[in-house]
Amino acid sequence: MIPAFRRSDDGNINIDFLVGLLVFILAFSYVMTAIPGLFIPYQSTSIDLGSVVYRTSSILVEDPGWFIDEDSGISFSNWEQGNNRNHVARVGLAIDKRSPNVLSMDKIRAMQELPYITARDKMGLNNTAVYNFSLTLKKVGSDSPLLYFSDEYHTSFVESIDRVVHIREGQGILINAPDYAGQTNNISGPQSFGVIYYNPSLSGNVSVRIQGLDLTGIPTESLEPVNVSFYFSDAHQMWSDFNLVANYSNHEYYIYKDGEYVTDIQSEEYDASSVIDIVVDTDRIYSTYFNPIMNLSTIRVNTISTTSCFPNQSIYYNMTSPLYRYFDTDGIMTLRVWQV
Amino acid sequence: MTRLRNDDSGQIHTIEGIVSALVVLLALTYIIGSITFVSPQTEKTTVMKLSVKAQDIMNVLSVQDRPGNFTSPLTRDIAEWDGGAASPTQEVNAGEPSIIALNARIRSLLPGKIMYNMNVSYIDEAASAAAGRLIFNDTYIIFQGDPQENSVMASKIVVLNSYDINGSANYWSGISMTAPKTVEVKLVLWSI
Repeated sequence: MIPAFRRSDDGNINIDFLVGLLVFILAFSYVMTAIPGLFIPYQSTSIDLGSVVYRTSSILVEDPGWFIDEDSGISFSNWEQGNNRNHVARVGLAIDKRSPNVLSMDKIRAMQELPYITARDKMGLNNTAVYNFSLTLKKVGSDSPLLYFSDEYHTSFVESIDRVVHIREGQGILINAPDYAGQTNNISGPQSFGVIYYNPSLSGNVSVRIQGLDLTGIPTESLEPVNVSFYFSDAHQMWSDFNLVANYSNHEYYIYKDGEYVTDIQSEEYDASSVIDIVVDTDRIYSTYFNPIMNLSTIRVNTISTTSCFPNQSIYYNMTSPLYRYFDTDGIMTLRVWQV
Repeated sequence: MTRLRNDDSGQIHTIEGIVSALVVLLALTYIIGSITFVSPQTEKTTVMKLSVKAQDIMNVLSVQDRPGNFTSPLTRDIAEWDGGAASPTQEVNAGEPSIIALNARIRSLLPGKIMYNMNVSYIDEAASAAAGRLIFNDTYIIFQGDPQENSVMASKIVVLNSYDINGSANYWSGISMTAPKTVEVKLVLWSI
């Protein structure tokens, strides 16, 4: 007959063993809690990602990035220009190191042209640990992103951060037509209007934004040729006769109506709410027409129209004029990061 | 006193001992690997993001928007401020167009679930002269309520010069080229 419980004591756990095991577990859990980082490989990655997403967003928003010049081996921050982007060491969107949160539109456009893998590399997300990212940059109140990178993620461990930024689209002149009403025209031609820059150090895109057209009694206005001409001065800063009329189809300047690129300027019509941007690419002008004797010192933008809805005079500007300003917009950058 | 027992009764069998220790270890490893730790750092990440946001907004408001000119929209808005305080019934004083515009801009930069207050702090010269010691005037210009737990603060120093002030009937009297006014602008953010 088999007894209900074995009377013999083989196979029992010794109290010593239980005590030993208890001590082991206590010591184990103590070590586990007392040494932070010891078990990170076993933990969820969310703690780690918080710092990665912050670091990466700071690289983009607070730093201009740099490239390494092939010939000299020196690094410069204008990685977005021309061939420099093939030697980019780290991307960054800020206009310079002293202006955190102010992003350069040229850098934004250049980054958008980078392949995803290159962008990830140059953001520092491909080191010992590899992370994937998605990135969206939008103007406030706009749905279409200026910058968009996306990759599918199949994990719930995603960390995201929103950065508030200021996007610098260019620099130029804001002309509110009513401010110049009733002033005499001193530019030749039928009802023309001119803007003249005196700025020898001009570079990059310069825009003239015209708004508030006076269209009393005129439903729409057809803007006849916008005539952008460039005056060069000699070494003595004397006005030269050399007058160059810029070529629209050569992309020496661009016209935007309410933010839309205008392909055919002859057929475009404007009304009182139109915002017209004339953007002059001074770098292209300079490289095309550079003359060692002449300095590009003046850009004149003439708009010639059949009626007098545009300001009726030429307006002179220089760097210190308060009407010369940056065209800026606020934006939100959203960055998501997850581990591959 | 009895001697240690010399037989093997009461002992765990070696293989069973090892197996049970392994089971315990496996269970521990599994638990550590599978749970999400809500550690103090998780909360820090949330606060960090809010704090970064506050600093970002102050940076964006302080950008010089005209070349060769050292003023920023924030400086201009504070220079145009006419001393009107916000209150629990008035998020922004209705007689302050520059602060109304500033408030609209800050609101456009933040998601709806974040609330904020903004206040300005500066030395009150008249009161200081009367009291014979420095007296600071601290006024809310935007007030959305009392901050909750885990609120964050970012501040900027705004220096008002005489060329920032338009007209003589301005709140900021007594500013001259040799005596600019220093104002600390503080932004407090919290999530609801």
